[in-house]
Amino acid sequence: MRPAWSIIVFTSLSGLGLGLLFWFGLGFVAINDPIDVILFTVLGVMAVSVGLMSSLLHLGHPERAWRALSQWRSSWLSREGVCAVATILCTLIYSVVWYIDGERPSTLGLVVATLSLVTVWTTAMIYASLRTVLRWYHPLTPWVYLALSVCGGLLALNAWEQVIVGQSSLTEITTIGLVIAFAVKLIWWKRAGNQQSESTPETATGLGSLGQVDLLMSPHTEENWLQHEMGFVVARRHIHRLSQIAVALAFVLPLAALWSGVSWLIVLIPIIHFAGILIERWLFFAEAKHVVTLFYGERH
Amino acid sequence: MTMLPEEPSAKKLGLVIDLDICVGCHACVVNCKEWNTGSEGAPLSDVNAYGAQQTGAWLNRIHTFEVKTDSTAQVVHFPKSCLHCTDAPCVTVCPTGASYKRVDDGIVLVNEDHCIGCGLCAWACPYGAREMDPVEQVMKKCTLCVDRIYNENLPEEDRVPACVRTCPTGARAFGDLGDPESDVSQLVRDRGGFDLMPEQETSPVNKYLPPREKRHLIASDRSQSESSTEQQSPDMNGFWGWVDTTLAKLG
Amino acid sequence: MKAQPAINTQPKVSDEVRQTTCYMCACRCGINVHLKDGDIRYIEGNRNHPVNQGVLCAKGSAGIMQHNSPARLRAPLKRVGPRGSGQFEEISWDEALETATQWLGEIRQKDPRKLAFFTGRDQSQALTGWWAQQYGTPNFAAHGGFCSVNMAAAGIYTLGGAFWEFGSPDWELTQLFMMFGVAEDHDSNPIKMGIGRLKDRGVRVISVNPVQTGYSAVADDWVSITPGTDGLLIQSLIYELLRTNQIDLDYLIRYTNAAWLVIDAPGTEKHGLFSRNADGDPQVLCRTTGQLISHRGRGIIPNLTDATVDPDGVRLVSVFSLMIEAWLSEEFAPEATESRTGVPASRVRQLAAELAQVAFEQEIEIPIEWTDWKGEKHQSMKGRPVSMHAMRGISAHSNGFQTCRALHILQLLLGSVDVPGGFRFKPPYPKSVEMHPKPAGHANTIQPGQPLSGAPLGYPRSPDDLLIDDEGRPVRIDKAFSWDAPLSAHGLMHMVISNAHAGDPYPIDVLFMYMANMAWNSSMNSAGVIEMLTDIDAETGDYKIPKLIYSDAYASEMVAYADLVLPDTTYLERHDCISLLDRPICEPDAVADAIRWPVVELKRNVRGFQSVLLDLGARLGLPGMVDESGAPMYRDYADYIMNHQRKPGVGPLAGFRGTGGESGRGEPNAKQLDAYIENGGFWMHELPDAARYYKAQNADYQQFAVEMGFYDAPAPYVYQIYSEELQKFRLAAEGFGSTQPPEHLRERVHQSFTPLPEWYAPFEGEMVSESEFPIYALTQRPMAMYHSWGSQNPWLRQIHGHNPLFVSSEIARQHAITDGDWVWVRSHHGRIKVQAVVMHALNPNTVWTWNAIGKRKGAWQLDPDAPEATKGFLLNHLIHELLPERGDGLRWANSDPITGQAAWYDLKVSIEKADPNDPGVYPEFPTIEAPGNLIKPASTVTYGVQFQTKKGERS
Ligand SMILES: Nc1nc2c(c(=O)[nH]1)N[C@H]1C(S)=C(S)[C@@H](COP(=O)(O)OP(=O)(O)OC[C@H]3O[C@@H](n4cnc5c(=O)[nH]c(N)nc54)[C@H](O)[C@@H]3O)O[C@H]1N2
Ligand SMILES: Nc1nc2c(c(=O)[nH]1)N[C@H]1C(S)=C(S)[C@@H](COP(=O)(O)OP(=O)(O)OC[C@H]3O[C@@H](n4cnc5c(=O)[nH]c(N)nc54)[C@H](O)[C@@H]3O)O[C@H]1N2
Ligand code: SF4
Ligand code: SF4
Ligand code: SF4
Ligand code: SF4
Ligand code: SF4
Ligand SMILES: [Mo]
Repeated sequence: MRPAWSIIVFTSLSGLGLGLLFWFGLGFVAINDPIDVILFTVLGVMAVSVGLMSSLLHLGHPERAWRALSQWRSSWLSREGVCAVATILCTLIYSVVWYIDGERPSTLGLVVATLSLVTVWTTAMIYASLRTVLRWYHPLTPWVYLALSVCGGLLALNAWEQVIVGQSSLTEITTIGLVIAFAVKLIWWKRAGNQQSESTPETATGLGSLGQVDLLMSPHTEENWLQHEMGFVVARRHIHRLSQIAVALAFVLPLAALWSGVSWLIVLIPIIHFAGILIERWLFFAEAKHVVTLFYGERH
Repeated sequence: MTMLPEEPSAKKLGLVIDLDICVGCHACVVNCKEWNTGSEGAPLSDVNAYGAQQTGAWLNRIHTFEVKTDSTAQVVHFPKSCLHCTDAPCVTVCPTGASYKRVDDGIVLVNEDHCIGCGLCAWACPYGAREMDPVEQVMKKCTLCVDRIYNENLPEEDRVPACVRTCPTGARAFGDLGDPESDVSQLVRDRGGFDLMPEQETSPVNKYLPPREKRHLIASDRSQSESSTEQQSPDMNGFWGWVDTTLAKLG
Repeated sequence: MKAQPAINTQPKVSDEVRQTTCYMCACRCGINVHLKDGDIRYIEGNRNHPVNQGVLCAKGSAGIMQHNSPARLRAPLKRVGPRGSGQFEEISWDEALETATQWLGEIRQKDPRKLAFFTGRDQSQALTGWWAQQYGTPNFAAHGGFCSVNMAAAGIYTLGGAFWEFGSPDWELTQLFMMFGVAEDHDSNPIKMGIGRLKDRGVRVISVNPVQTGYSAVADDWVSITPGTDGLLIQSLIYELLRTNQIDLDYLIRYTNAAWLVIDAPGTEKHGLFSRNADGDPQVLCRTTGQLISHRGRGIIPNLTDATVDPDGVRLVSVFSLMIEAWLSEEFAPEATESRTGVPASRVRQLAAELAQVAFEQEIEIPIEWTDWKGEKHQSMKGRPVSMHAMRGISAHSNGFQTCRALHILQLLLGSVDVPGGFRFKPPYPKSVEMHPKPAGHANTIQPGQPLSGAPLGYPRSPDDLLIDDEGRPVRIDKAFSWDAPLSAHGLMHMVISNAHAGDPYPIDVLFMYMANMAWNSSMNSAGVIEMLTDIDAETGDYKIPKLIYSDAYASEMVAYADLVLPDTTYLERHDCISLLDRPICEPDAVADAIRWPVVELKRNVRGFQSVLLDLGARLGLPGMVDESGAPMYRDYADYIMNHQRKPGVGPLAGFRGTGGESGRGEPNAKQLDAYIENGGFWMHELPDAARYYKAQNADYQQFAVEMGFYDAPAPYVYQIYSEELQKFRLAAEGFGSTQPPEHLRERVHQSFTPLPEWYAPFEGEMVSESEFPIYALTQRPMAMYHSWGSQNPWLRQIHGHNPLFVSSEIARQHAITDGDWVWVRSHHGRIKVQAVVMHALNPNTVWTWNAIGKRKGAWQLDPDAPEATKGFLLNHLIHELLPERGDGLRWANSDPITGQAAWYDLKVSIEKADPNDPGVYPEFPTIEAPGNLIKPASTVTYGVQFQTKKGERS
């Protein structure tokens, strides 16, 4: 699948933002001053909505985007839209109430936290429900999104605390978060990446009983939209190198920085991690193969 | 509407494509484009029309495959357009409801006025049957020529999809695959019509008829046959005798 | 569930439908052009039309884009830069026509041969040929010489009609269909429709073709033959049929010259000619009386077996016994031919058995009473339901004429020509070779300022009919009808430019071409041709071919080389006529012709070429084009179509003649075109039942043909298995007669003009080293593209934007080639670098590519970086119009020695993997400039958007 930057940025950034809001909802955030609530809200909501805006860039008709909220009964994309909007709204109410009351409305917080997770889940399910893309079509896919989101939030929270309080107290739990997220992703890589496709050129054409099926001539001599969108290929050695970089940036370096005790490093962790996640997300698309390519001479 | 109809329609209009007959001429492809680019929806546009990387939106495409065994190689021309799946994943993923499956006849359509061009339905379709229009940025797909098949402005015999009407070999048949008694259903039964990628569980309405058995040997059969035949010399006397008797009979 | 969107299932399709004839190729299907607000909304096939019965191919369906092409020429052009630069200035029609008149007028008064008028993919040869005749130049032909004249001529000399579009399988009744070397054909839609119908009926289809695509892919049986060896395979099949006594003797006796007696007197001038009685009738030996009698007698049972002597004591043998002697010989045993043909002996046997089984065990009979030419009544029409068809796969070889003759003989042995279930003729065919004119233009008949005595093209029947001067030199610029190519019934268009450039046999002054992209895909050695067109004569300082007038409708490669461009309309903007006097569109059961008429408004300063030609003719004062006062006889082509008469009552169109709508013959009708338009753009007249089969020998058909005006008196004949015409040329080569081949051609004429077809290996393969060039290289027609002119079409060029070289898996293995590799392909003439794709369903010694996809940079209003130019290629750069030099320093044309047919598919090559670090096609040519007045191509096409206002109006 073509790794479109709008989608990569969207899923990564809103994932991070939703992770933040999840912890925020749980009240698991250092607040020195009531204004910090607003500050934090702006940060989280910004991340989510910049992500959303970026995803709109991907649309042919962003002006009609509101229509995407209508099909929540069947469409994960629609559910995602609904949930994201709901999360943002609830967060705003939550933080305004908190700010005005000076007291955290914990029930509302629970709602925000839940909605955040659900939104991440819906995003992931857009991909995980596509049978046509075997690598995504795996029960672990949403867990990866969830783990990365929650972990990213935690890293950001830790940095926030470092900035606000001047020191961070989340080293241990963040470490756990990183390790879990890494583990989930690792298992996903092993499992989702090694699924054997049921679909082959033989099943795609129904001609398998006659022999091995290979493409001789494409319907068109230059690349068409389908191939551009779903026939993205990237060399194996690039994949290998990029996965190493992704792991290093997203998990290894943050871990090292976390334990370094160097405060400016700790502040930088979310950025390093995010860079890793961008690459991870790029690979998520780039490595995924769509069954339609079977009609174009690929064999998965 | 993005939900599939709760009760799948009894009527399932679709195409039956005969891979034994299709010669890969692309007539159906171009005629489809021609009909649909002037239709109710946005034109099926083309970009870099006269330059490099020319491309455009089409609703029907012909692939050409080679099917090989150790001793045979068979070229199969393979038309592909929307299969109007009963369990159409392209419909359920659509966030706007632009994609829908008609309650009346099962045709899967896109309401272009509502389409946001997110492309997700094309991701969900296993068959590559949906293409984004490069100019209008809305999703394009086979409409089963819904503006022909019921169109009373057309003579009755022309109320079939453009691709079916134009196909020179008659490799494409149109009809109600929900009706077991229809011609197309009959054809599917007689010829062992099959689904593409049944494992994707889309329950396509369109069916494909397999190529009949052929003698499409590749060169490697030469050695086998050489050993299995022995030379018989012509018998000249016998031949002239035969000529004589035959002429006698004529006379 | 919410209500579903209301959609308009009843849109009004168009304001008006106009019915005319497609011209996206030469198949000439009927089309319904739907117009909306003056624009073309949709083009579909005309269901009532005899050719396509409603279907429409990819090209036809892309007509909208062709019609709107930015490469359309817009006004007459005068060259201002050097040739090939593409620099032109727009001029008025008056200036253009005056210039042409001046150029042509001068030479007509001095030496009309100085005009070479060649008309390419012409569908109006009845007009253009006549024009050349009236002008007085013998130098006229259309594209047939490089296309399929082998097929056409072999058909005429053997059967009196050819495959091609002059006949067709009996699609309704045939039980076995065998195809040789057909990828697409001129009869594109009818063949596809036919194959579809056969499939529906479960009839077996066999395709003999080195490549398995298209029709071969759907065939039940694909026979992967080694190119150029069909003649051998066919003779092996004949051998098998003879060996197993499975031939139709009755048919042979009645309808062929099998029983005719041939003089067996080697070394005499009569050897090999027919024994004739005092009336000149060929004779047969009566089986009962032992007498020599005219073959015309009724109910003769001849003696085929025994030789006899004539009253002078000269030995006579039957054609039949010569056939047996020739073909029941071990050299044609399947075992003996399999290594050359690549078709295993067992399969040859299988094929022969299958042919015989269907022909003789599935005999059909239709209960229609008919009378044969001898007056014998038959209660029914007997059919052998085996049908055959062949095209350029056998005709585009240097042995194509004889291969095609052999194929016709195979059909005759099976008794399956023009019988129910067999191969059938489409009127006005069949017509024996005697009924065809001989070529006009003998050296001493060409007079300045005078018309020729007859049509420039025809069918010579003996060396005396050749167009050579007293020294034996060719009269024609293309050397047609000379000893180089005696039976070149369609001329040799592929030799015109090189001969004119060499001044051999003489220099010319004006080259006038229409509709032929000779600077590119229709030439062999395209780069060489480009040089010849731009080569300057050191003495005169002028171009070696001094003046070049060209008519095209689009900015093709060729336009850039013209001095004067006469821009044509598109096919939707002009009158045309698809005439019985030309290549007709009849069906076996019906006579038909058709028109084109301006169905869309012309908005450029261009004119239909035929009208321009008539205008030029009038300005030149050509007889038949001006009246006594010197005033033009015809306003334009439409006027000519309605009012011109070839002979009284017979004109370009056979339908709606006279006042009562007569068919065939009748007075000119001023409302004729209206009547055609009213009738859907065509006219069709069915044959009476009794005339449907056995046309050559069928008295009812002969009568019908006379009524229709095909000829003036019945002209029945029998098919010529043994060709006396060919033997006459052979005798000349043996030293008999006043007209003999020059020494350097004597041997070749003797070898090739065998009265019974003999197979010889294609010339190029024989002349180059097998080890150096072991591979056969072919082209095929893509079904969705027409030669060079489809690439300007934004829809079609998405399907075929460039062409790979398909290499057999065997060759790929030997050279470690994988898909996408760049490879060097070399021939004796040149080398090209192209991209390869591996294919299994391909003869192991063969590579092939799609024809004419490669384009010259800058042509056709395509961007210079279009893949057609950067990845696409022509095989033509490897093909030379001459064969490699022989020992004697002479070079023969790369053509069939009999007809001059260009031997495109004789090409032999070698292949080698190219340096992967140096990708890209070779050769590359400099970009040519497009004429400055063309519209700029849009980068985005959204055709149909103009109907959008209407789209909103939901009814
Ligand atoms: N390698 C290889 N080369 C081949 C062949 C092959 O098999 N292999 N085949 C050969 C054969 S059989 C043929 S027939 C030739 C064909 O080759 P060409 O005769 O060159 O045919 P086209 O490319 O169709 O070009 C004809 C010209 O007609 C112009 N034209 C189109 N429509 C109109 C019109 O309405 N009016 C006018 N005035 N002009 C128009 C086009 O723009 C084009 O320039 O190619 C030959 N070349
Ligand atoms: N779509 C489309 N239609 C066209 C044209 C076009 O350009 N496009 N061009 C028109 C013209 S001008 C012509 S002349 C006709 C030509 O019509 P075809 O003759 O059908 O076309 P070609 O592509 O020349 O096909 C030749 C076939 O012969 C095979 N072949 C080559 N060598 C041999 C051999 O030695 N033996 C056998 N048995 N087969 C062999 C090739 O593989 C190929 O399949 O098509 C006409 N129709
Ligand atoms: S073929 Fe594709 S687009 Fe058509 S209904 Fe099925 S899934 Fe949807
Ligand atoms: S592209 Fe249009 S039709 Fe497809 S899923 Fe998105 S909104 Fe629905
Ligand atoms: S049914 Fe209509 S829209 Fe669908 S492929 Fe055929 S012509 Fe195109
Ligand atoms: S028009 Fe018919 S034969 Fe041609 S490609 Fe389409 S389905 Fe095949
Ligand atoms: S075969 Fe196609 S291009 Fe040729 S005349 Fe017929 S419809 Fe037109
Ligand atoms: Mo041709």
